[in-house]
Amino acid sequence: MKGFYVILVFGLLFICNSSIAQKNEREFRVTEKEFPALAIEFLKHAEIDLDKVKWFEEIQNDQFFFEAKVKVDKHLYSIKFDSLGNLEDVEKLVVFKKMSSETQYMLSSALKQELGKFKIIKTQIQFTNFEMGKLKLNELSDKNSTVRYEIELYFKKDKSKKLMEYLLSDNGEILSAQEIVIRSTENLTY
Amino acid sequence: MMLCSILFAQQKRAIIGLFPEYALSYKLSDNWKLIHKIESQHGLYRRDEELEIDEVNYFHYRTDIQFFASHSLNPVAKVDAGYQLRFENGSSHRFIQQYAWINFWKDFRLGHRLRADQTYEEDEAFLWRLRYRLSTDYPLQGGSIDPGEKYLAGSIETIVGYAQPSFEVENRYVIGIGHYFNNKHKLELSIDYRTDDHFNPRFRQRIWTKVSYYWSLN
Repeated sequence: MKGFYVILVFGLLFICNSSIAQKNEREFRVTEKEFPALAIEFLKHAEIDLDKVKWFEEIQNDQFFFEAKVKVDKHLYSIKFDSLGNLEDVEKLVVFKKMSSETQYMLSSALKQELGKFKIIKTQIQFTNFEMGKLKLNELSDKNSTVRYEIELYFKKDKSKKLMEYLLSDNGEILSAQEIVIRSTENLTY
Repeated sequence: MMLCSILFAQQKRAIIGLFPEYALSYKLSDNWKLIHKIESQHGLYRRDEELEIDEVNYFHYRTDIQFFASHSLNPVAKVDAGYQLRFENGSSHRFIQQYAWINFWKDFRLGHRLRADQTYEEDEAFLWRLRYRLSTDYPLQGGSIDPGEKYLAGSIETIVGYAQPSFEVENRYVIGIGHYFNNKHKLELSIDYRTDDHFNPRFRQRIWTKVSYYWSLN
Protein backbone atom coordinates (compact mmCIF):
# COMPACT_ATOMS: atom_id res chain seq x y z
CA MET A 1 0.00 0.00 0.00
CA LYS A 2 2.89 2.36 0.81
CA GLY A 3 4.37 1.72 -2.62
CA PHE A 4 1.02 2.54 -4.18
CA TYR A 5 0.99 6.03 -2.59
CA VAL A 6 4.60 6.70 -3.58
CA ILE A 7 3.79 5.82 -7.21
CA LEU A 8 0.70 8.08 -7.17
CA VAL A 9 2.58 11.09 -5.75
CA PHE A 10 5.50 10.74 -8.15
CA GLY A 11 3.09 10.08 -11.00
CA LEU A 12 1.45 13.47 -10.50
CA LEU A 13 4.83 15.19 -10.11
CA PHE A 14 5.82 13.73 -13.47
CA ILE A 15 2.59 14.88 -15.13
CA CYS A 16 3.06 18.39 -13.71
CA ASN A 17 6.67 18.62 -14.82
CA SER A 18 5.87 17.55 -18.33
CA SER A 19 3.23 20.24 -18.85
CA ILE A 20 4.05 23.42 -20.74
CA ALA A 21 3.29 26.75 -19.07
CA GLN A 22 1.76 29.56 -21.06
CA LYS A 23 1.54 32.98 -19.48
CA ASN A 24 2.76 36.56 -19.54
CA GLU A 25 4.07 36.74 -16.01
CA ARG A 26 6.02 34.19 -14.02
CA GLU A 27 8.10 34.22 -10.90
CA PHE A 28 10.75 31.60 -10.14
CA ARG A 29 12.81 30.92 -7.05
CA VAL A 30 16.50 31.22 -7.93
CA THR A 31 19.74 31.12 -5.94
CA GLU A 32 22.04 33.94 -4.90
CA LYS A 33 24.58 32.75 -7.48
CA GLU A 34 22.12 33.42 -10.31
CA PHE A 35 21.63 37.04 -9.24
CA PRO A 36 23.51 39.80 -11.14
CA ALA A 37 26.67 40.96 -9.37
CA LEU A 38 25.48 44.57 -9.44
CA ALA A 39 22.32 43.64 -7.54
CA ILE A 40 24.30 41.69 -4.94
CA GLU A 41 26.57 44.70 -4.55
CA PHE A 42 23.57 46.93 -3.84
CA LEU A 43 22.26 44.51 -1.22
CA LYS A 44 25.68 44.34 0.47
CA HIS A 45 25.97 48.14 0.53
CA ALA A 46 22.51 48.31 2.10
CA GLU A 47 23.88 45.97 4.81
CA ILE A 48 21.30 43.28 4.14
CA ASP A 49 21.98 39.83 5.61
CA LEU A 50 22.13 37.81 2.38
CA ASP A 51 21.40 34.58 4.27
CA LYS A 52 17.91 35.91 5.03
CA VAL A 53 17.09 36.92 1.44
CA LYS A 54 14.65 35.00 -0.76
CA TRP A 55 15.75 35.23 -4.38
CA PHE A 56 13.37 35.41 -7.34
CA GLU A 57 13.48 35.88 -11.07
CA GLU A 58 10.44 37.37 -12.75
CA ILE A 59 9.36 37.43 -16.38
CA GLN A 60 6.91 40.22 -17.06
CA ASN A 61 5.69 40.76 -20.63
CA ASP A 62 8.88 39.20 -22.04
CA GLN A 63 11.09 41.33 -19.78
CA PHE A 64 13.36 39.80 -17.13
CA PHE A 65 13.64 41.13 -13.61
CA PHE A 66 15.24 39.96 -10.41
CA GLU A 67 13.62 40.39 -7.03
CA ALA A 68 15.09 39.99 -3.56
CA LYS A 69 12.67 39.70 -0.65
CA VAL A 70 13.88 40.22 2.90
CA LYS A 71 12.51 41.17 6.29
CA VAL A 72 14.18 44.15 8.00
CA ASP A 73 12.91 45.63 11.28
CA LYS A 74 9.70 43.55 11.04
CA HIS A 75 8.87 44.92 7.56
CA LEU A 76 8.96 42.84 4.40
CA TYR A 77 10.92 44.53 1.61
CA SER A 78 10.88 43.58 -2.08
CA ILE A 79 13.85 44.94 -3.99
CA LYS A 80 13.43 44.77 -7.75
CA PHE A 81 16.27 44.88 -10.28
CA ASP A 82 16.38 44.75 -14.07
CA SER A 83 18.12 41.87 -15.83
CA LEU A 84 21.52 43.58 -15.51
CA GLY A 85 21.12 44.25 -11.80
CA ASN A 86 20.15 47.94 -11.98
CA LEU A 87 17.72 48.88 -9.24
CA GLU A 88 14.10 49.38 -10.32
CA ASP A 89 12.40 50.06 -6.98
CA VAL A 90 12.11 49.04 -3.35
CA GLU A 91 8.71 48.17 -1.86
CA LYS A 92 8.03 48.06 1.86
CA LEU A 93 4.97 46.25 3.19
CA VAL A 94 3.21 48.33 5.86
CA VAL A 95 -0.03 48.38 7.81
CA PHE A 96 -2.14 51.29 6.56
CA LYS A 97 -3.40 52.23 10.02
CA LYS A 98 0.15 52.35 11.36
CA MET A 99 1.27 55.02 8.91
CA SER A 100 1.29 58.66 10.07
CA SER A 101 -2.19 60.11 10.45
CA GLU A 102 -1.36 62.81 7.85
CA THR A 103 -0.43 60.17 5.25
CA GLN A 104 -3.50 58.09 6.07
CA TYR A 105 -5.73 61.14 5.71
CA MET A 106 -4.10 62.25 2.44
CA LEU A 107 -4.44 58.79 0.83
CA SER A 108 -7.93 58.10 2.22
CA SER A 109 -9.23 61.48 1.01
CA ALA A 110 -7.90 60.91 -2.51
CA LEU A 111 -9.38 57.41 -2.70
CA LYS A 112 -12.67 58.46 -1.14
CA GLN A 113 -13.07 61.20 -3.72
CA GLU A 114 -12.50 58.66 -6.49
CA LEU A 115 -14.34 55.63 -5.10
CA GLY A 116 -16.68 56.56 -2.28
CA LYS A 117 -16.59 53.68 0.21
CA PHE A 118 -13.66 51.26 0.05
CA LYS A 119 -11.73 48.79 2.20
CA ILE A 120 -7.95 48.57 2.17
CA ILE A 121 -6.40 45.11 2.14
CA LYS A 122 -2.71 45.71 1.56
CA THR A 123 -0.40 48.72 1.50
CA GLN A 124 3.14 49.00 0.19
CA ILE A 125 5.38 52.05 0.11
CA GLN A 126 7.40 52.23 -3.08
CA PHE A 127 10.78 53.98 -3.07
CA THR A 128 12.57 55.03 -6.27
CA ASN A 129 15.20 57.57 -7.37
CA PHE A 130 17.50 57.26 -4.40
CA GLU A 131 21.26 57.02 -4.40
CA MET A 132 22.36 53.43 -4.60
CA GLY A 133 24.94 52.19 -2.17
CA LYS A 134 24.50 54.83 0.49
CA LEU A 135 21.30 53.92 2.26
CA LYS A 136 20.04 51.06 4.38
CA LEU A 137 16.50 49.88 3.68
CA ASN A 138 15.12 51.20 6.96
CA GLU A 139 16.57 54.65 6.21
CA LEU A 140 14.51 55.11 3.04
CA SER A 141 12.02 57.96 3.32
CA ASP A 142 10.44 60.78 1.33
CA LYS A 143 13.50 62.90 2.21
CA ASN A 144 15.94 60.79 0.23
CA SER A 145 13.78 59.16 -2.45
CA THR A 146 10.60 59.41 -4.47
CA VAL A 147 7.78 57.84 -2.50
CA ARG A 148 4.64 56.29 -3.93
CA TYR A 149 1.94 54.21 -2.32
CA GLU A 150 0.65 50.96 -3.76
CA ILE A 151 -2.71 50.12 -2.23
CA GLU A 152 -4.86 47.04 -2.73
CA LEU A 153 -8.50 47.63 -1.86
CA TYR A 154 -12.00 46.72 -2.79
CA PHE A 155 -14.99 48.95 -3.42
CA LYS A 156 -18.51 48.67 -4.71
CA LYS A 157 -19.17 49.41 -8.36
CA ASP A 158 -22.33 48.61 -10.33
CA LYS A 159 -23.70 46.42 -7.51
CA SER A 160 -20.54 44.27 -7.34
CA LYS A 161 -17.34 44.74 -5.39
CA LYS A 162 -14.08 45.07 -7.32
CA LEU A 163 -10.61 44.33 -6.04
CA MET A 164 -8.19 46.98 -7.30
CA GLU A 165 -4.59 48.08 -7.03
CA TYR A 166 -4.00 51.83 -6.92
CA LEU A 167 -0.70 53.66 -7.19
CA LEU A 168 -0.67 57.10 -5.56
CA SER A 169 1.99 59.77 -5.44
CA ASP A 170 3.22 61.26 -2.16
CA ASN A 171 0.74 64.10 -2.54
CA GLY A 172 -2.22 61.78 -3.04
CA GLU A 173 -2.48 61.95 -6.83
CA ILE A 174 -3.78 58.70 -8.35
CA LEU A 175 -1.15 57.60 -10.85
CA SER A 176 -2.62 54.28 -11.97
CA ALA A 177 -5.35 51.79 -11.18
CA GLN A 178 -5.83 48.20 -12.24
CA GLU A 179 -8.25 45.49 -11.33
CA ILE A 180 -6.88 42.45 -9.52
CA VAL A 181 -8.39 39.12 -10.41
CA ILE A 182 -8.20 36.62 -7.55
CA ARG A 183 -7.50 33.05 -8.57
CA SER A 184 -10.63 30.95 -8.29
CA THR A 185 -11.15 29.82 -4.72
CA GLU A 186 -13.17 26.63 -5.26
CA ASN A 187 -10.29 24.48 -4.01
CA LEU A 188 -10.31 26.40 -0.73
CA THR A 189 -14.04 26.63 -0.13
CA TYR A 190 -15.71 23.42 -1.40
CA MET B 1 -1.54 -5.89 3.72
CA MET B 2 1.12 -6.39 6.40
CA LEU B 3 1.68 -2.65 6.56
CA CYS B 4 -2.05 -2.08 7.04
CA SER B 5 -2.16 -4.62 9.84
CA ILE B 6 0.81 -3.02 11.63
CA LEU B 7 -0.49 0.51 11.11
CA PHE B 8 -3.89 -0.17 12.58
CA ALA B 9 -3.02 -2.93 15.03
CA GLN B 10 -4.29 -0.80 17.94
CA GLN B 11 -7.32 0.60 16.14
CA LYS B 12 -10.90 -0.51 16.11
CA ARG B 13 -11.96 0.54 12.62
CA ALA B 14 -10.07 1.71 9.55
CA ILE B 15 -10.61 2.24 5.85
CA ILE B 16 -8.10 2.99 3.11
CA GLY B 17 -9.20 3.89 -0.36
CA LEU B 18 -9.51 6.19 -3.34
CA PHE B 19 -11.48 9.42 -3.37
CA PRO B 20 -12.00 11.14 -6.72
CA GLU B 21 -13.90 14.44 -6.68
CA TYR B 22 -14.89 16.80 -9.43
CA ALA B 23 -16.22 20.34 -9.10
CA LEU B 24 -17.76 22.39 -11.87
CA SER B 25 -18.59 26.05 -11.35
CA TYR B 26 -19.96 28.87 -13.43
CA LYS B 27 -20.83 32.49 -12.88
CA LEU B 28 -24.38 33.67 -13.35
CA SER B 29 -23.46 37.30 -12.71
CA ASP B 30 -20.75 39.30 -10.94
CA ASN B 31 -22.21 38.26 -7.58
CA TRP B 32 -23.78 34.86 -8.19
CA LYS B 33 -22.19 31.54 -8.99
CA LEU B 34 -23.39 27.94 -9.20
CA ILE B 35 -21.21 25.02 -8.15
CA HIS B 36 -21.81 21.33 -8.80
CA LYS B 37 -19.65 18.72 -7.17
CA ILE B 38 -19.44 14.96 -7.29
CA GLU B 39 -17.28 13.07 -4.84
CA SER B 40 -16.99 9.34 -4.57
CA GLN B 41 -15.19 7.19 -2.03
CA HIS B 42 -13.99 3.71 -2.94
CA GLY B 43 -12.50 1.43 -0.32
CA LEU B 44 -9.52 -0.84 -0.97
CA TYR B 45 -8.83 -1.96 2.59
CA ARG B 46 -11.13 -2.34 5.58
CA ARG B 47 -10.60 -3.34 9.17
CA ASP B 48 -13.31 -3.72 11.78
CA GLU B 49 -12.36 -5.63 14.89
CA GLU B 50 -15.89 -6.06 16.15
CA LEU B 51 -17.05 -7.57 12.87
CA GLU B 52 -13.75 -9.45 12.52
CA ILE B 53 -13.05 -7.90 9.14
CA ASP B 54 -9.47 -7.29 8.02
CA GLU B 55 -9.34 -7.46 4.26
CA VAL B 56 -7.95 -5.91 1.12
CA ASN B 57 -10.90 -5.77 -1.18
CA TYR B 58 -12.67 -3.19 -3.36
CA PHE B 59 -15.98 -1.78 -2.13
CA HIS B 60 -18.02 1.30 -2.96
CA TYR B 61 -18.22 3.36 0.22
CA ARG B 62 -20.29 6.40 -0.75
CA THR B 63 -20.99 8.89 -3.53
CA ASP B 64 -22.13 12.46 -2.93
CA ILE B 65 -23.68 14.86 -5.41
CA GLN B 66 -23.68 18.48 -4.29
CA PHE B 67 -25.18 21.72 -5.60
CA PHE B 68 -24.35 25.18 -4.26
CA ALA B 69 -25.63 28.66 -5.02
CA SER B 70 -22.95 31.14 -4.02
CA HIS B 71 -23.35 34.86 -3.43
CA SER B 72 -20.21 36.95 -3.11
CA LEU B 73 -20.33 39.63 -0.43
CA ASN B 74 -17.06 41.18 -1.61
CA PRO B 75 -14.02 39.90 -3.57
CA VAL B 76 -12.82 37.87 -0.59
CA ALA B 77 -16.01 36.65 1.15
CA LYS B 78 -19.14 34.79 0.13
CA VAL B 79 -22.18 32.96 1.48
CA ASP B 80 -23.51 29.69 0.06
CA ALA B 81 -26.62 27.58 0.28
CA GLY B 82 -26.28 23.97 -0.81
CA TYR B 83 -27.88 20.58 -1.06
CA GLN B 84 -26.26 17.16 -1.07
CA LEU B 85 -27.65 13.83 -2.13
CA ARG B 86 -25.64 10.92 -0.72
CA PHE B 87 -25.69 7.31 -1.84
CA GLU B 88 -24.43 4.98 0.89
CA ASN B 89 -26.54 1.93 1.72
CA GLY B 90 -29.56 3.92 0.62
CA SER B 91 -29.71 7.67 0.24
CA SER B 92 -29.62 10.72 2.53
CA HIS B 93 -30.37 14.41 2.03
CA ARG B 94 -28.21 17.20 3.42
CA PHE B 95 -28.86 20.94 3.52
CA ILE B 96 -25.80 23.13 3.74
CA GLN B 97 -25.19 26.78 4.68
CA GLN B 98 -21.73 28.27 4.64
CA TYR B 99 -19.80 31.47 5.01
CA ALA B 100 -16.36 31.43 3.42
CA TRP B 101 -13.66 34.03 3.16
CA ILE B 102 -10.01 34.20 2.21
CA ASN B 103 -7.12 36.22 3.49
CA PHE B 104 -3.47 36.47 2.62
CA TRP B 105 -0.51 35.82 4.87
CA LYS B 106 2.98 36.06 3.35
CA ASP B 107 2.85 33.83 0.25
CA PHE B 108 -0.01 31.79 1.70
CA ARG B 109 -3.60 32.18 0.64
CA LEU B 110 -5.79 31.10 3.54
CA GLY B 111 -9.33 29.91 2.98
CA HIS B 112 -11.76 29.85 5.91
CA ARG B 113 -15.01 27.95 5.71
CA LEU B 114 -17.64 28.01 8.41
CA ARG B 115 -20.37 25.56 7.53
CA ALA B 116 -23.58 24.26 9.08
CA ASP B 117 -25.39 21.24 7.69
CA GLN B 118 -28.45 19.18 8.49
CA THR B 119 -28.85 15.60 7.28
CA TYR B 120 -32.04 13.61 6.86
CA GLU B 121 -31.90 9.87 6.38
CA GLU B 122 -34.83 7.50 6.67
CA ASP B 123 -34.96 5.60 9.98
CA GLU B 124 -32.04 7.65 11.37
CA ALA B 125 -31.97 10.54 13.85
CA PHE B 126 -31.69 13.97 12.24
CA LEU B 127 -28.00 14.96 12.17
CA TRP B 128 -26.95 18.56 12.89
CA ARG B 129 -23.35 19.56 12.28
CA LEU B 130 -21.19 22.66 12.61
CA ARG B 131 -17.78 22.67 11.02
CA TYR B 132 -14.80 24.94 10.40
CA ARG B 133 -12.08 24.35 7.83
CA LEU B 134 -8.83 26.23 7.35
CA SER B 135 -7.20 25.56 4.01
CA THR B 136 -4.32 26.93 2.00
CA ASP B 137 -2.58 26.79 -1.33
CA TYR B 138 1.08 27.74 -1.31
CA PRO B 139 3.20 28.36 -4.41
CA LEU B 140 6.01 25.87 -4.96
CA GLN B 141 7.56 27.92 -7.78
CA GLY B 142 7.98 31.62 -7.05
CA GLY B 143 6.00 33.91 -4.83
CA SER B 144 2.59 33.36 -6.43
CA ILE B 145 0.75 30.52 -8.12
CA ASP B 146 0.88 31.21 -11.83
CA PRO B 147 -0.51 29.14 -14.72
CA GLY B 148 1.44 25.95 -15.31
CA GLU B 149 2.81 25.85 -11.77
CA LYS B 150 2.51 23.45 -8.86
CA TYR B 151 1.35 24.34 -5.38
CA LEU B 152 1.10 22.80 -1.97
CA ALA B 153 -2.48 22.19 -0.87
CA GLY B 154 -3.52 21.53 2.70
CA SER B 155 -6.42 21.83 5.09
CA ILE B 156 -7.55 20.99 8.59
CA GLU B 157 -11.17 20.73 9.62
CA THR B 158 -13.09 20.03 12.78
CA ILE B 159 -16.70 18.91 12.67
CA VAL B 160 -19.01 18.81 15.66
CA GLY B 161 -22.24 16.90 15.14
CA TYR B 162 -25.33 16.08 17.13
CA ALA B 163 -27.75 13.26 16.39
CA GLN B 164 -30.01 12.32 19.25
CA PRO B 165 -28.87 11.16 21.76
CA SER B 166 -25.18 11.93 21.31
CA PHE B 167 -22.56 14.36 20.06
CA GLU B 168 -19.80 13.36 17.67
CA VAL B 169 -16.51 14.96 16.67
CA GLU B 170 -14.66 14.38 13.45
CA ASN B 171 -11.27 15.73 12.38
CA ARG B 172 -9.95 15.90 8.84
CA TYR B 173 -6.43 16.61 7.62
CA VAL B 174 -5.49 16.97 3.97
CA ILE B 175 -2.05 17.45 2.46
CA GLY B 176 -1.13 17.23 -1.18
CA ILE B 177 0.11 18.93 -4.29
CA GLY B 178 -1.85 20.76 -6.92
CA HIS B 179 -1.29 21.80 -10.48
CA TYR B 180 -2.69 25.15 -11.58
CA PHE B 181 -3.28 24.87 -15.32
CA ASN B 182 -4.97 28.27 -15.45
CA ASN B 183 -7.84 30.02 -13.68
CA LYS B 184 -10.30 27.52 -15.14
CA HIS B 185 -8.56 24.23 -14.41
CA LYS B 186 -6.90 22.90 -11.29
CA LEU B 187 -5.87 19.37 -10.35
CA GLU B 188 -4.92 18.22 -6.87
CA LEU B 189 -3.57 14.94 -5.55
CA SER B 190 -3.71 14.61 -1.81
CA ILE B 191 -3.91 12.35 1.19
CA ASP B 192 -7.09 12.89 3.20
CA TYR B 193 -6.93 11.53 6.75
CA ARG B 194 -10.10 11.46 8.85
CA THR B 195 -10.74 10.39 12.40
CA ASP B 196 -14.05 10.12 14.22
CA ASP B 197 -15.82 8.35 17.08
CA HIS B 198 -13.01 9.56 19.34
CA PHE B 199 -15.00 9.00 22.53
CA ASN B 200 -16.15 5.61 21.46
CA PRO B 201 -14.40 2.24 21.75
CA ARG B 202 -15.06 1.94 18.01
CA PHE B 203 -12.67 4.79 17.11
CA ARG B 204 -12.39 5.05 13.34
CA GLN B 205 -9.70 6.23 10.92
CA ARG B 206 -10.08 6.70 7.21
CA ILE B 207 -7.27 7.44 4.77
CA TRP B 208 -8.14 8.43 1.25
CA THR B 209 -5.96 9.11 -1.73
CA LYS B 210 -7.87 12.03 -3.14
CA VAL B 211 -7.79 13.26 -6.72
CA SER B 212 -9.63 16.57 -7.13
CA TYR B 213 -10.40 18.40 -10.32
CA TYR B 214 -11.80 21.94 -10.31
CA TRP B 215 -13.22 23.37 -13.49
CA SER B 216 -14.58 26.93 -13.72
CA LEU B 217 -16.49 27.56 -16.93
CA ASN B 218 -16.18 31.36 -16.79
